[in-house]
Amino acid sequence: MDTQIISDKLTKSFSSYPDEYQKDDSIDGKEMLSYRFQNNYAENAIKMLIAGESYKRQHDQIYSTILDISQTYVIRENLLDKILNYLEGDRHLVISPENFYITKVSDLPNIEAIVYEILPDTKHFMTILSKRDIETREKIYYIEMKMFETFKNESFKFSVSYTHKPYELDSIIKNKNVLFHKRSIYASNR
Amino acid sequence: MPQTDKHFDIIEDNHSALAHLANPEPSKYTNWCVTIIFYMALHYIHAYLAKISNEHPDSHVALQPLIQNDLKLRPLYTKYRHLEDDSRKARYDGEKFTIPQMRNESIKWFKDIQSSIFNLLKIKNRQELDLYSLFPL
Repeated sequence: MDTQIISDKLTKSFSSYPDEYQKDDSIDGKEMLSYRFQNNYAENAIKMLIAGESYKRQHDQIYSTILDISQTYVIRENLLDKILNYLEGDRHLVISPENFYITKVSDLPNIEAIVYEILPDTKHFMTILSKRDIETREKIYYIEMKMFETFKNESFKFSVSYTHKPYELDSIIKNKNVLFHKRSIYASNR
Repeated sequence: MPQTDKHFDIIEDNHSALAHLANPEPSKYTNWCVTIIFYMALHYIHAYLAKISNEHPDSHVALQPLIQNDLKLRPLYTKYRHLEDDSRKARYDGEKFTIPQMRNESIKWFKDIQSSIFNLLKIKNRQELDLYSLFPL
């Protein structure tokens, strides 16, 4: 399945929202997506995550919202294995390094946040753990190696740190692009 | 750019500084000890790259993919990354490490890197450094 087909399916899925949601101009993309996910449309969440890059080209303004909600939902519902099987079964899908990294790392134990910044010619991924967890770090390092193998034309820098107190995390992620934040998952479960 | 021998000289110099910091109280400056151990490991990797491929990476950003892309260095990637991340935490946050952490983790990762580089470069005229003796239990 190529990205165009996924994108078409995504567009169709948007047009099939209940009428009251389509008619209400005050309902923005985020609320529609929330409605969709609350009704356990797991396949849709997966497709949205996978189609992120393709979709970005057509609907740039709500891309980040889609990514944020779909990732939150997917992680909360333990759908990561399903996604990985989906991804590995189809090599034609276009996956961004950011999605690849989040998908593989965010479900590991003791992950507090993943932040990302663009340095000159390099993408810097920084993962923050809730403690000095050697086993999780080891798993992340293998994912980093996989990143170098998978995206040969890209330049990456990786770092893994940990915090002792919540306020330390806030200062670390300040002014950075937050790809994953555990506390937003807590919030969505309330 | 330093050649292989120069890197080994730097490692031995760093080892002297490490011995100085660890004596008489090994647990006092473990943040700086971890940092020195990381840079010793880094110079072993640089020594290998200088000798085998005449590469002289000028940043940590450049070094990570070079280790991953070299089939013989690849098994050292996770050990190098552990040392790198602990060193950064020590430098920027003043993180301290216990003697058991030093022995069971930092020194062990360093030792694996050191032994591998000695084997890969078939080093005969230098000795592998024993860091365990600097941090007794």
